[in-house]
This record gives sequence, C-alpha cells and structure tokens, in this order.
Amino acid sequence: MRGAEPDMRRFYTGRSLRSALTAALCSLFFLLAMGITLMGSGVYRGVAAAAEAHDTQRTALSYVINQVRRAQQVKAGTFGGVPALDLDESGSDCHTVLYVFGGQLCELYAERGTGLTPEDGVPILPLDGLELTAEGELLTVTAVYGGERYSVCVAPRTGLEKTGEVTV
Amino acid sequence: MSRGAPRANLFLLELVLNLFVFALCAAVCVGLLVRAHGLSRESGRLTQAVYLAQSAAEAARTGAALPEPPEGYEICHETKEDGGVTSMEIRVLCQGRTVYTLETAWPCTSAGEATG
Repeated sequence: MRGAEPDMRRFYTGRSLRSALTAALCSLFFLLAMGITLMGSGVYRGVAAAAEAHDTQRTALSYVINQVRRAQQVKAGTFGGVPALDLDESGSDCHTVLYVFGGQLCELYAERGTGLTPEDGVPILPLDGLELTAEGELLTVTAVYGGERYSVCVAPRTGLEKTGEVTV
Repeated sequence: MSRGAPRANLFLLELVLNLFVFALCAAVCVGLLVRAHGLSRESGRLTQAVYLAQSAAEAARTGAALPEPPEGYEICHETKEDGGVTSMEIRVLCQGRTVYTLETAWPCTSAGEATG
C-alpha cells in the first residue's frame, strides 16, 4: 500500500504533462492555420488588386492609342475643364471626344454644334485620371488608376494640334 | 489506470502527425502565394517596359528626345542605318535586368511607319 502513492503521483503528473502538450499542439495548429489564412487572403487581395489595376490601365491606354492612330485629325485640349482628346474622322461631321469624367473614361461621339456636355459621354471603363501632354509631334498619354500611373507616347501620323476647350 | 496512458500517447502521436502534414501543406501554399506575388510584380514591370519601349520608338521616329524612364528603369538603344532604313533596338532594363526588347525600323529620308 505504501508503494501505490508514488505511482499515483507519477500517473497524475504524466497525465497533466500530456494534457499540456496536447493543448500546446492544438494552439500551434490553430496559430499556423490562422497565420496561413491571413497571409493567403492578404496576398490574394494584393495580387487581385494589382492585376485589376494593370488590366484597367492597359485597356485604357490601348484604347486611347488605337483611337488616336485611326483618327484623321488629333487635337489635345480640355472638355468641361478636364483634359480631352478631340478626334476627327475623314468625310464626316462627327467627331469623337475622349476624357475622364466621374471616375470613368468616357467617349462622346457626336456631330459638331450639338452643345453636348461631359455628362453626355458614354462611360467605357473606370479610370481615375487621363493626362495629356502635347510636345511637337508627340502626344504623351498618362492613365492614372489606383495610385499608379502608366504613360505612353504616340506620334499621330496625321499630325497633332493643341487646342483650348473642345467644342461639341 | 494503465489503459489510459497508451491511448493518450496515440492521440498525441496523431496530433503531431496532423501538425506535420498541415505544416507541409502550409509550406507548399506559402510557396505558391510568394510565386503569385512575384508574377504579379513581374507583370507590372513588363507592362511598364512595353510602354517605355513603345514610347521610345515613337519618340525616335519623330526625332524627339527619348522619354524619361521612371525610377529603377533604364532605356538602352542601338541605332543602325543601312540601305536607307534606320533600324533601332530598344532594350528596357529594370534594376539592371532586361525586361523587354523592341526592334523597330523606318525609312531614313521620310517619316514612315515604325515596325515593332
């Protein structure tokens, strides 16, 4: 009967140690799972946002550059106080105005003298800003979206004109 | 008293094995995420480099100065004139590494179409 006491003590000590180890392993498992989940969602959010920003800017710049290349006459000016491109087509009274209004790249295709305003344009895709710089024959188009800026230069084959306010 | 201890040991062993398998899967997932992040950055660099090369080609064709590259980027170009055609190789480097190369040519005498 005397030897049973230390056995009991050893049994209870071992049991509490095992319980502590189990709890520690469970906590480690939980922490690891939480860490991976948080890191994964953070990286995914970053990658998705960057991909969306690049895609939007690429699409906007490609669209503007292609419109400039196919136009017969290119004028860089302002429309309702925002930078705008006035693109003329050959043999038509209609012209296309490209500008950013209300966080959207807008296109306004209209006959001259209709008196339309920037609100009347058709939104194409979200864009924070469009900056235009005309130097000599070279037009620099800068697309701003999500805090990032991408610039591209284009030399319109039919020449480039600087103009003030675009009249629609 | 003696039956409880082996069962607890088995449970612990299973927990350790589970943790090991989970850590292995987590390491693979972290690797994939890091790679995705790297690819996203690389995509941004490539986009920037393509626009820089295109802008340099347009500027060279009109005789204007090459565009000022953003921080970390560099534009290297090599121009040759042969048989009435000016050809140019434009390389865009990011942190010393070539990201994009563009070859373009146009007639020497008159302004013509640049070909990429």
